[in-house]
Amino acid sequence: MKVGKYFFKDLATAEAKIKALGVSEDEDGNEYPTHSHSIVKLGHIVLEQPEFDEDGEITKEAVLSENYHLDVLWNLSDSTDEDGELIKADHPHGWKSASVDLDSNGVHSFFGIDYLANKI
Amino acid sequence: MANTLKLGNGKWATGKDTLMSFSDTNNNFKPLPFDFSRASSATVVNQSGLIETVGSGEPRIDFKDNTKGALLLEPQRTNSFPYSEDFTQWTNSGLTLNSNQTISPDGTNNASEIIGTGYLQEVISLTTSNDYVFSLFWKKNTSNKIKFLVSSTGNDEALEIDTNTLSVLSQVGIDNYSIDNYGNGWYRMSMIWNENNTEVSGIRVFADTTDALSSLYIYGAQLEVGSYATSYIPTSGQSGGVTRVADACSQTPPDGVIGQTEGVIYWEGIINGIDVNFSNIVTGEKNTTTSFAVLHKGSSSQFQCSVFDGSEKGRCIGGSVSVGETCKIAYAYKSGNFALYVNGVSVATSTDTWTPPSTIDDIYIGDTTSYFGNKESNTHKEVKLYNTRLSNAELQALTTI
Repeated sequence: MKVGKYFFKDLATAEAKIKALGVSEDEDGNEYPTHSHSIVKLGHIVLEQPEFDEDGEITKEAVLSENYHLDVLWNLSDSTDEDGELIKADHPHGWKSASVDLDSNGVHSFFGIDYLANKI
Repeated sequence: MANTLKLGNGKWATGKDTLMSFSDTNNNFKPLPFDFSRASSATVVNQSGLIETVGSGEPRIDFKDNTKGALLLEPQRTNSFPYSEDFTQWTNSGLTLNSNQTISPDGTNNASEIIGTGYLQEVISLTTSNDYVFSLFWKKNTSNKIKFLVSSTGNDEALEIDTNTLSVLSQVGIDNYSIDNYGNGWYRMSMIWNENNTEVSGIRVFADTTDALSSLYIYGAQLEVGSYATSYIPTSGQSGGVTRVADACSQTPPDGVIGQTEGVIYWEGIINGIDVNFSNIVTGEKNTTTSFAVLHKGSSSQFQCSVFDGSEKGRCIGGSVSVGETCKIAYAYKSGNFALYVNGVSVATSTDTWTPPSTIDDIYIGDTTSYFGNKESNTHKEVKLYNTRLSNAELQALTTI
């Protein structure tokens, strides 16, 4: 398993990338994924938390990212070639340019999966 | 009435990425392993009745209200609260908050105590039209009430419960609620509402708002998108939440296990909630060329079963299913002779002609894809396959509660 963090300019762009990972249609025309990756749509994440008064009312609105963010738990693993050389698992085509390389676990985690130890 | 595959009924053998079923056809006992996957950790109620975290790839046998255990298969969900247990990180408006005051449902001394008429608040971005579930474990100390409130730009959503009788004292703007008994005085209360605005809201929890000395123990707050609460997902500072990914369970058994022209699919379990119109319980090949599907039809709280031979045949719909109650169903399939029994009663039959052109090689339990239906949270107590169509009397006996 590998974890990747990504941002796109908007939801439509993110959904197009997700669809490109593989979807099929059931007989009712509903799309379902044919891949085994786990995708979490974080959306426009909070960059600055809102502030509140003593009554719990917001005195300063939260600042949200202009970009649309995704976290992906890829069903991918590192492998070795015939010479025993490590082949690192890589982003699927078209995802690397949207990836974010963090030195922390970021705003979101997959339960029990450390991003830094499993970063793609 | 020998089955060709049986899973569960109190006999659980699990390992990482696997779950054992068995066959005793012709008195020849042999294991039939299911492939199991879940790429993240998850929690489950263990045999001691405590919430326990299990690692990725480990099937969850859930013992809540069930001494024999049952396979818990859930969809992906995210707990959006950054701090599910450390309530010192929540905004405290007028409460006395004491951490680590009593034993929580996970068996450790990490439950918090709130005292007074004020509230704790966590601020979360909500999206219009989404269904949300706010759940929290609580245990009465001296407080006679517990209240949830979502502070919104428009109308608030709120639920107040009597902690002695569990009756509703007031509710505003919510669609549903549930209160589950976790033992030792602990309850998990869930409040479900459809959000009217895209906004940043304050999710609040109160003890008795009229008694300054009222004391309540709390643990394990969870906010998830959906119309029912799923298993607890702990968080510890992730502002975007923590995600438990979906469980998946499937097998390609040897020839003879899945009846190709006739058979019976038996399922005993619990529907834990309804988010979608159709959810997968036990399904076969992901095609409509040759397959079967046993589904829960959420819109009418019934079961729907079919086979396929290029088109849907033998459709049987029936039974009345209550969320949280154990059901036993058996779908018998054979060209010209289909029947669905639910809890000992024949609820539907079909005399369709069924001519499967190829083979059914796979069986999926609570499938994660939406080929026939979608994935819901279901507790699977027992699954059995027979490769012959049992008699109606046998179906009745098999499914009688």
